[in-house]
Amino acid sequence: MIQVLADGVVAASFIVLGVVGLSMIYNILNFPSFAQGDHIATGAYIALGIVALAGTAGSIAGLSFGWPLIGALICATILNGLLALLIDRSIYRQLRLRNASRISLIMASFGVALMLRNLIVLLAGHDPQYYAFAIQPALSIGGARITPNDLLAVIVTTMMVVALHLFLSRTTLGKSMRAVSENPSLARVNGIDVDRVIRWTWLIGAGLAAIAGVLLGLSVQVNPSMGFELLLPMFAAMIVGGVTSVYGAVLGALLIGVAEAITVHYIAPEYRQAVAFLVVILVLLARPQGILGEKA
Amino acid sequence: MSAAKPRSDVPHLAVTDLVAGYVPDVPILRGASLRVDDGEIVAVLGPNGAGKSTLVKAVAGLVPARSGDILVHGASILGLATHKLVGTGVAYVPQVGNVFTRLSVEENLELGGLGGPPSRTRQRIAGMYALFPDLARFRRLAAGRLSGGQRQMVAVARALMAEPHLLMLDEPSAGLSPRMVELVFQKLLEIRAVGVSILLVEQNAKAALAICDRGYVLAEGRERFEGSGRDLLASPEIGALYLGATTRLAS
Ligand SMILES: Nc1ncnc2c1ncn2[C@@H]1O[C@H](COP(=O)(O)OP(=O)(O)O)[C@@H](O)[C@H]1O
Ligand SMILES: [Mg+2]
Repeated sequence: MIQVLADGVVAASFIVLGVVGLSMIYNILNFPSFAQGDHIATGAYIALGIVALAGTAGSIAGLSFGWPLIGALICATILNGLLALLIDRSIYRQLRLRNASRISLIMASFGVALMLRNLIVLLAGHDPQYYAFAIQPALSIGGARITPNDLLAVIVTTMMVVALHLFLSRTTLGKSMRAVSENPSLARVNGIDVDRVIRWTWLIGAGLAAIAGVLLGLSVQVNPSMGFELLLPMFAAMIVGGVTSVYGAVLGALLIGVAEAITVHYIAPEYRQAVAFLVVILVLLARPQGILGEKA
Repeated sequence: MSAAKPRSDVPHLAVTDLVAGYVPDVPILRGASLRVDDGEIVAVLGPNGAGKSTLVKAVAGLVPARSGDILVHGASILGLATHKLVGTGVAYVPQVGNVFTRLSVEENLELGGLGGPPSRTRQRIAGMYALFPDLARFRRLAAGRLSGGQRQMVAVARALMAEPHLLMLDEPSAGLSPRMVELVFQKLLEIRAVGVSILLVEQNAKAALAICDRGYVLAEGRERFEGSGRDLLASPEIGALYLGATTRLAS
């Protein structure tokens, strides 16, 4: 049982890091981005490209990789944010300026998703790839076995959630983001530059997606559909947590991650996503607005 | 962050022949004009749907102007991005959705003072708690959990955080009890006393005319009457024709 919980928390980590961007973009730009999964993949591949150039020499404290990967992770976070910014400027912003409907933005995000995935295949091929192959003996923590890479994923995710909370509750930019997500026109009246808030939303959302991609790549493998496969769990997490709340999305991700791990252990891996959606339905029956969502 | 104190012989706000609307070819304002001078409280009255809210929204840049002009301290602000309005010394309290309900009272105030140095913001917040003592007690509470009157005070305080020369209020008395209306209007007089001019859009004609220096009656997208608060109050045809509140005015 402890093992299931540990596996669930590891699985949840990747969902958490991805869903934060999904939720922020949903609340600030007012559409669900179906490309969020593929932003995870581009982040993983950007890091892969950097590693290919710089190598992954060495091994830090039982992890499967050396310091260059940490550098690649940081660079990929920034570059992935800039890539999202470029996409926003050239596609979504053009639609916003023309007062495009929400469905147009959703369709555009489908297009972006396909474009990113095909770009990856074009540049790096279909085959799964790995950052490094160094042997990493599993650790035993409180009766659960966990690899150092997975433990790192959980630690980094926890740090990011804490940082996100401090950002949203303490900084002017974070408060401005919450203001825009609730009432963009009042935010403008207050002197908040909504375009600037949107730029930061992409930088943060895609930056965290890159971290998710690298950590997932270290845990499993890097392949072109690695992010797309996280899209459904991310949507489930956002909806079950309450779409208006980033914190809800984080809780939702934990719930979905643990539900998936339980399914894998006690039922069969193929039912993973079905059970996740069963959880969503059960929670929504009891609480239609989601765990932390507000009644409409 | 607030603009330099303007010359007092130039109107704070001058709207001339403004044509504006939400969609092209459907003008809601059809040549509306008004003016707010230094230290004035100016009321804009008129029946529901007359275009009162549209007028202040147009000044705030939330509704596009088709023709006419909007001058703040003598300079045109047509086409100015909404988020730059506060920088011209004009603050605006919308009719609905005028507080961030999920943010605490204090966070609402902080965002109102955006752009100023943090020490100044602290000082202003303390000033707002002195003006609205109720708010200090609820500083950590989400603004959405306050009563209507308290929310209205958060909205006004938030707008004042930017140290405006002109405060535009859209129906601050809507949905408030008579006692609360009296309190809010009392605050408006206090705010004017410290040198802030006020453009007050109101349905509650009697209360607005009682505190304003001048008033306009808006109907069908244009101003139909202009006069001192006293004159408008006394004019029976205005009450009957445009305020829809003859009895209230007469009583
Ligand atoms: N967001 C909007 N989109 C389209 N039409 C609107 C909108 N808001 C108001 N209107 C229309 O503009 C007219 C004037 O409305 P408004 O300025 O709100 O009047 P008032 O504040 O005087 O009651 C009304 O006919 C109303 O239906
Ligand atoms: Mg109105």
